[in-house]
Amino acid sequence: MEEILVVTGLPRSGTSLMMQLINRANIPILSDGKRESDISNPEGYYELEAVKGIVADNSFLKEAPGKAVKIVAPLPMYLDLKLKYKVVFMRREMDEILRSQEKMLQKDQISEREKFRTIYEFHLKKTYRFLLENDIPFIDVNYNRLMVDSEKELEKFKDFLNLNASLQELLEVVRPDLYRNRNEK
Amino acid sequence: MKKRNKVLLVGWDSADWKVIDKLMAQGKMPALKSLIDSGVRGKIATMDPPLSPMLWTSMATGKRPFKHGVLGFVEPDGQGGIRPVSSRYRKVKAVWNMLTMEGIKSNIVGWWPSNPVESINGCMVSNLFQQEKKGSELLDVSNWPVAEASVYPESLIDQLKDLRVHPLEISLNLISPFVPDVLKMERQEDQKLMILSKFLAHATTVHAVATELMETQEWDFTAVYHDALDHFSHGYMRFYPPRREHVEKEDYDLYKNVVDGAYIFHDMMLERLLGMIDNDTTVIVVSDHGFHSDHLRPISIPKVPSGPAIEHAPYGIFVAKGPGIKKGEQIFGASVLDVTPTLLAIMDLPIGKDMDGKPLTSIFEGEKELKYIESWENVDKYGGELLDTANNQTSNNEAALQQLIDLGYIDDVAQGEGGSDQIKAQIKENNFYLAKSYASAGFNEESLEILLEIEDKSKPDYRILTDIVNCAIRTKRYNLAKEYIAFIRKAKVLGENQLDIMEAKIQIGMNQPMEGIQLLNKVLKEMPDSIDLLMDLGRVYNAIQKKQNALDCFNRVLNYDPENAYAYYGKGLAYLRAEDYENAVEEFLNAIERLYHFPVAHLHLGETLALMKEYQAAIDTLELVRTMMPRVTKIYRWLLDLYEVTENEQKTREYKAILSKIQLGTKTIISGLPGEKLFQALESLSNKNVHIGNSKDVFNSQVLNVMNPDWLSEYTGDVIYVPMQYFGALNAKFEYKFIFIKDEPEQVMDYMNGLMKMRKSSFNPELLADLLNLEKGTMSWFNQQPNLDISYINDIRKLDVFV
Repeated sequence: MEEILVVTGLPRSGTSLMMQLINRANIPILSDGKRESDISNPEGYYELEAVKGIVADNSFLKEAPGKAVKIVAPLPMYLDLKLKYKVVFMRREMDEILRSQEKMLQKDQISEREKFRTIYEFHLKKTYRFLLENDIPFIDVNYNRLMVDSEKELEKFKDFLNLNASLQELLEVVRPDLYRNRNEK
Repeated sequence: MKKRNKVLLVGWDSADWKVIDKLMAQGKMPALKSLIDSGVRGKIATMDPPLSPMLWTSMATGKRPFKHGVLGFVEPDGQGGIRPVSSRYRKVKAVWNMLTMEGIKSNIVGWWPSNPVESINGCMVSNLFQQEKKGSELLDVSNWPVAEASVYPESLIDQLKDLRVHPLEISLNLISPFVPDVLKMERQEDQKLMILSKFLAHATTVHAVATELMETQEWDFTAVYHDALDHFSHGYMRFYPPRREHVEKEDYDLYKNVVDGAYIFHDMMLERLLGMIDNDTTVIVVSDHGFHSDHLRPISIPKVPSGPAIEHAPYGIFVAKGPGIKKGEQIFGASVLDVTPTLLAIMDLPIGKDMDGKPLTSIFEGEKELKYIESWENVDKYGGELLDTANNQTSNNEAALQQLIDLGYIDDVAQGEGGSDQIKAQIKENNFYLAKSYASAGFNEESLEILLEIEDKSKPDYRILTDIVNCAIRTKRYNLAKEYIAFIRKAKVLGENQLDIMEAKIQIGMNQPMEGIQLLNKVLKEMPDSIDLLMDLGRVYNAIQKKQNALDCFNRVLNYDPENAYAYYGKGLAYLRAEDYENAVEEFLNAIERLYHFPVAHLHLGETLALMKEYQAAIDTLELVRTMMPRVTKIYRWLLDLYEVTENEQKTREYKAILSKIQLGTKTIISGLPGEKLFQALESLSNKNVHIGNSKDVFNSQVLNVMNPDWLSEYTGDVIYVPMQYFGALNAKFEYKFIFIKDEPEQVMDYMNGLMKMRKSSFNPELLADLLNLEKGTMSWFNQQPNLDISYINDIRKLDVFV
């Protein structure tokens, strides 16, 4: 049976970028194209509407073996454990994630920043615990390192997935002009 | 085969020793007194939140609510509405399931919640059996169908249904023992009388069913639960003597006897049950919490769901009598979680290792042999199933719901209107109880996670917001706590004083005790008789070793509440820290006299006796503490030390062997006053390739996460730098070697002045006083630890021996 490649991480931690990399590496993507690209993600989101309902219905995963699907943390906890997975876990500096989300939602969340920081810590902890307890192989890809030391981070990712794609092809995807909101306070 | 001894368990919701002891002294509760005289008695600790369906389910399972799944008073009914809490949400086996698996026959009557009933080995009559219908239908006594799934086996329905007593059948004559002037009353339609007749009817039904089943059915175990004392207490405790100013004299005169009457009525029912059993039957009478009957009675009830629970007191009653059970003794340390493990021990059945409670072994004469299994959940035997319910038994559910609304436990939101909002609100409320259940077991992370999920800033709820701040402080998330305090201040859902107390706790947590003390003192001026506040303040003074201030706080507490064991304990600690051992012993004994199951008070008493060289008394005390806190390594270290001093070779060997198993190894700690010498010492070790764990700048006021019990494991160097003020947090899981750099406080002051860009030689009396205090406290701590290996270093060149 072929594995399902799950891309996870907190929203605004580089999960869409990882989907683009996977797309470039010619791994088919389970997506319905319903969420179109916008200014926050000019290359699109590679999302599947059905993922939002995973708590009640994870049957869409039956279509996923051999494909990649983006499921943000902590929703991987609802994966169907009868299927096989490999997980790419996107990580990014928490303050950057929080600032990026605040900007995207165009609301001043500073007064709730600690609340979301804490909730996200819990989401990450839960997701890791789930992966470890169920022996699901995963790799952490650090968005911040991907930007400054792209080659090294991409090699790690290529090895984990046994990808045939050339490093150059992948490097083209990691476009620094998408590395936004880094220093914005 | 040997005949199995029977067990009778009687549950009296909210029964409290203060009322009972007064009545027993007057000879008015002879049945309970006869049990106590020939058995054991004790207090039983409740749990937070003290809500009956959660507690009685914990009682019947030995598990905390986050494991058993029954939360609050109502639950979603799966059809878009809510219904009174039922047995459907219980996720784990109850004692009657375990007994069914073992072929033991039970009668279970009235347990809350137990509808729908289960197909157990025996009979089960649920808490909805006695429930009348709602509204105008209530008046039609002749049309009173038995609630669906309230009786197992169903063949018993005909035998039991006519035993039900309807509130309309309770005449004024029957009420007169509770309200002697009822016949003279002009207001006989008083709502208060309606409540009385209703719960009198319920209690009578439950009693009638219990006696009927005990008489006509074969049984090994009977459990009968009465909720009436709780309802009587919520309705009438405010009229209980002595009268307080805000209670109308006329009402007081009418209703002052109701609570006593209710207890006496329960004793009469107990007398009847005791008359139906033989001498070989074990009897246990238990309550889930107490009920304030004295000056601690609240003046008003908060208008929030479950607000009336504020009247509950933290300890209920536990009484046991039977073969193999001690006679005429007190027992200590019981919790509602212990009831099922104790029942299993009495019946020689295994206790689930996944249970949160423990068997109360101190009730037994001699050593009780205990059996254990991993879990009853995995036992592959039939334990009974919930009875199918075709419809949703609307009429009884509605009446039960209305009852919860009338009692103030849930909000009165019209059924059918805004249904989904109501369900959401109820789910949120139940999740709040779940969070509380986690927090009360010390799982603050789990609690905080739930609280943050249910918190809704558009509908600020002070209870949730307060718990978020407290959990954030307990998990050292000070920025989160501050963010919420800022919101609470803006939303004005709590008073400034409460917010100041929270801020003070943050300051103290962030190692700024003086700022915290300043805030607490500010609040104290406005709330001079707040016991909680004085206790907090006293604890902080103790932590920073301000003996006299601490003593002042605890003495003020004792002026208001002379029986406060924690205040005596605080005084004991203040004396112990000041090396005034004789006074310390006296205060620890005062604390223990008032609250025997107070393990840390015994521990410090033992330590103090050891420091006074009263070795045998110290050994006796610490051996007792070992049974109370078997996981605390420090006790074993003390005992080893004491057995070495008293040259008891066998015990010394024994404790060395125990410690070698439970200790995680040795840590070398370097510390000293934060001056140039310490700085040079760390540098010199570093230069010689000694890896220093926690090697951050010595003067960087970093906060070590000492709330995490494994905080020291985070540091893995050959030598770990721990600032002196953290010594108290060094966990006895490790053995320690100390390298203590001796420096002169005056020189350290000069050095620190320089760092703070002050003139080096300027005299800074506050800083010097702090440094002297820190040094004194550390030396006293060193003196008071068992088996410490300390090397005092004056000349840092001598550090080479550690390389």
